Amino acid sequence: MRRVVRSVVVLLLGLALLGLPDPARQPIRLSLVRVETAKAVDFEQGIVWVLVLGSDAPDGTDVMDGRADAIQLVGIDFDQGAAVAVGVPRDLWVETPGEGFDRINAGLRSGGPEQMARSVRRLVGVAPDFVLTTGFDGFEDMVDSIGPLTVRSTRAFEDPEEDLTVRRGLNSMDGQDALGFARARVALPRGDFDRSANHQQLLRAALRRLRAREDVEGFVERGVFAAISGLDTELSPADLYRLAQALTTIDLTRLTACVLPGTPGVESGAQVLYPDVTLSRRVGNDIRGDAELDRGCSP
Amino acid sequence: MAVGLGVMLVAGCADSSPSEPPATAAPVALEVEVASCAGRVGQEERIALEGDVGDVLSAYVVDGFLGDYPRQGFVRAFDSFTGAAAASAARDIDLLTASRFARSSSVRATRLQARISCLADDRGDLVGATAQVAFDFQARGGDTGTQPFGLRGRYMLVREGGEWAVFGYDVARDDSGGSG
Repeated sequence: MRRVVRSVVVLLLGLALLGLPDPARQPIRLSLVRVETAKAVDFEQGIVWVLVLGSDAPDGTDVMDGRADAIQLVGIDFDQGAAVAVGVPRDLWVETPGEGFDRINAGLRSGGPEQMARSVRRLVGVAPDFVLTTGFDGFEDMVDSIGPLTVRSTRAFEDPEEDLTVRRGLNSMDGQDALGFARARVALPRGDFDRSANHQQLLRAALRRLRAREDVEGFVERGVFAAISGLDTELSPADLYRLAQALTTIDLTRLTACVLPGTPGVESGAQVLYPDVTLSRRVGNDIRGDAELDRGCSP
Repeated sequence: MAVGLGVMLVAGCADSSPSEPPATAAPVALEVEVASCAGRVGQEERIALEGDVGDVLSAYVVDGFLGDYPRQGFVRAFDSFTGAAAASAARDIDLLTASRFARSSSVRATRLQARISCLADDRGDLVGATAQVAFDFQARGGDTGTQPFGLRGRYMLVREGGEWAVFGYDVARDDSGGSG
């Protein structure tokens, strides 16, 4: 009989911590910011909440100069091994106190990661402990550094804009393919909702890849050493190490995910999505205590 | 470089019956080797690391698997774990120690190997380490007769305040005797 024990359990930051960003580049390509809360995070117990943002800032510029093209609230329960990802559509029309209404994705440029954290907290009712922000080139490099990802797609599609052909089922993707898959939207029947679900498939694939490499001697240590130089963060090397080690022990069978719904509308001539605030709060209440989705994001 | 730590990693035999030969095999030394390091880590630091992590693992093995049988108090094995990891380990005590062989007459180690990967920060100070272990034991007497069992996987350590502590583990336990 063979039995497996896992004590520390976590999520997606693996891409950031175990990928190998180029530390020589000057613009911030990858940022991990601790959000001011009254909660202490020791990366060993309790739940850590990470808001993962994909910035649309052009290559070579600071990721904070873009909008949050991808938004995922990720929770990891260190005690139980459960993990959850809640996708937030970028076009949700939300109010920022003192600034009025705007698409939620505009908050990155106007108020930085902290404002994005506040917007998601107001919507879902769960306060992120950290915000991880990456841009296009940083994401591509990170995927290439951990190796090709095996990504499951729920449908076959082609996206000429991304020069991408995806088949239904499993697809092997390098960094460029993965970035195209993450950005593809027009070819998807439900647009941003499907795209957000694809981000969660990328997350699963990355975690699967990390698990596959966890036993390679020095894999975690080399990744964290590179991250110490290449990642813009206030976390100590010891905390980064704890977090990265925890990522490699995530049990994928305990990862649940869904994407928040929204109702299409038009504001100032632009298409937006009106959030279902009640449902969003219900999802937040569902996941807050155990980082597990019991009811999903459907009404 | 591999270091064999000079600890008596063989069980005593408190009340073995005449039909059960005492565990007289030579003590098995814990072999610890630093396999790789990320960051600038000198030879002296590597040797010190082998000793320090070796001490942590030795204490864990002695308190968790060896000693005089029948025995109790396996939870002492987690003295070198961080608080949260110790609490988690206490829940997994049957998998992380020989507690299920508490009524045996002896438990001895037949293989104790650990390969270390370490991390230093950009100043060269050691921050963390992974110990990839292969531990094999043999329990005698009690309810199970002679029973080999083994442990494979990783123990994750950080150095805080100059002391190394286990903050996580990801290990597989094999009580079938088929570890290899």
